[in-house]
Amino acid sequence: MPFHAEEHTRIVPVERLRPGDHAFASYADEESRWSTIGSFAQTGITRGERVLLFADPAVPAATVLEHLEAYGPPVGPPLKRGQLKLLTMDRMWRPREISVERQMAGLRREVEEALHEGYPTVRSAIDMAWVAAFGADVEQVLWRESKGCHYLFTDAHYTEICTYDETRFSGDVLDRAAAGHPTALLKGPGTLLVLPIAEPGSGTYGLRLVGEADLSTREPFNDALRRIAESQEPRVVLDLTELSFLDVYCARAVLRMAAEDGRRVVIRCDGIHAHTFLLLGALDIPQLTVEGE
Amino acid sequence: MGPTTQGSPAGGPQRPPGPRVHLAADHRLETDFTSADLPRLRVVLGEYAARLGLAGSRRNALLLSANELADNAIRHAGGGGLLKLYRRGALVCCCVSDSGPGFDVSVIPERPPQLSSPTGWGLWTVRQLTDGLEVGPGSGPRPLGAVVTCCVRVV
Repeated sequence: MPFHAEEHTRIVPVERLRPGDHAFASYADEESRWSTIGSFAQTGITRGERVLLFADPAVPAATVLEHLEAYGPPVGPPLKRGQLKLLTMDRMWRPREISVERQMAGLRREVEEALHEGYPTVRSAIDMAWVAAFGADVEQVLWRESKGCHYLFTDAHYTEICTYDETRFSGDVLDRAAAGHPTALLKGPGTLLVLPIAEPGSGTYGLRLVGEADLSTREPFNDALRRIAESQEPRVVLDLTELSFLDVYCARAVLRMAAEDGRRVVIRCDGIHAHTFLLLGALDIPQLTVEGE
Repeated sequence: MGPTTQGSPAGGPQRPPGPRVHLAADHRLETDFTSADLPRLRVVLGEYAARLGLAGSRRNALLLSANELADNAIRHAGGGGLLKLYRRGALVCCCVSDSGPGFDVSVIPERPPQLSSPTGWGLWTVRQLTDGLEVGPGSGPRPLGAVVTCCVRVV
């Protein structure tokens, strides 16, 4: 059975991660792999966080840095000042034998060291290629992912993403790993998921859009608006709170739908998109309510 | 005036105590793009814009505006173009040049278009969101193309 991370209870674009999040990501190609890691690392550098990068041990450091620079400014300066650290997982337990406890203690040391140095928060990107590279037991790894690491995240000083190669882990392992993380990530920039709202309430048709609504995702976006137009319920809810980008075309298309549909329409979104809707004339549509921050 | 090293580059005005992020004054982005690059281009733009000093709603205004300029070049001017992002005094500027037929600033409506109007919205929105929008001719062989620059003030 193909693996579907989008069935996860909380799926978000990588830029929506918050301190304290522990997120699962999977990739099937190099672009998807590095877009997640690159964007996550660059955002951490921008925000002044300590960034720990456990890349695939088989990839040379110079190549890793090149990939990071495809998603933001040069990383030489943050590397030089120690804000960005390239690590391999075996450093967490060496010179002793591999164990989950030693791995966890090593990560904990890295976090404490960073906080001691004055960094407000720490983020790790862990490419799970380390599991095969260092001969770790996958059952132990899954236990660590789902149950053995929660204490790292409780004080919101630490964020972690674990990226799994879909060609190297079985569907069963991927499913259990995804389920073990409180959060899952979209595959990369230029993704739009259209999901039904689980409990929209009686008489309400609801859709939730996750990802980006722009030129590259026109088709699923227009399809979502078509589904709304074809629904029969007297009230419509469009949840855009996990939409990280909304271009002018899509914002205008939502307003046109609301203006022409005639039913009560509620848009839930954050302040950025609310501002766009107001600028484009949301207040002129009496049956529309924009619930923004 | 160089990029600010005070305040939070990506969050609210109060930055937690910690090591200062040293922002290079010469962070400058110059990149070709086509429609396939648009999502990744926004990630890169967002990081550069933050390190050039834009935060919060001003960073979002620049991102949305830059996306509209690039989107225009992709749809109306040959499928892509060249994008530059740089600091000019207290402004962060995004300049998109293309090799399309070119256009004049007079095509940008003064008043908001009707919701049903298929054109005019992108550049009208850019004008509302930014602190400056300039349209000029390109310098290439025929067709000359257009050079569109929008700037957002660092506060």
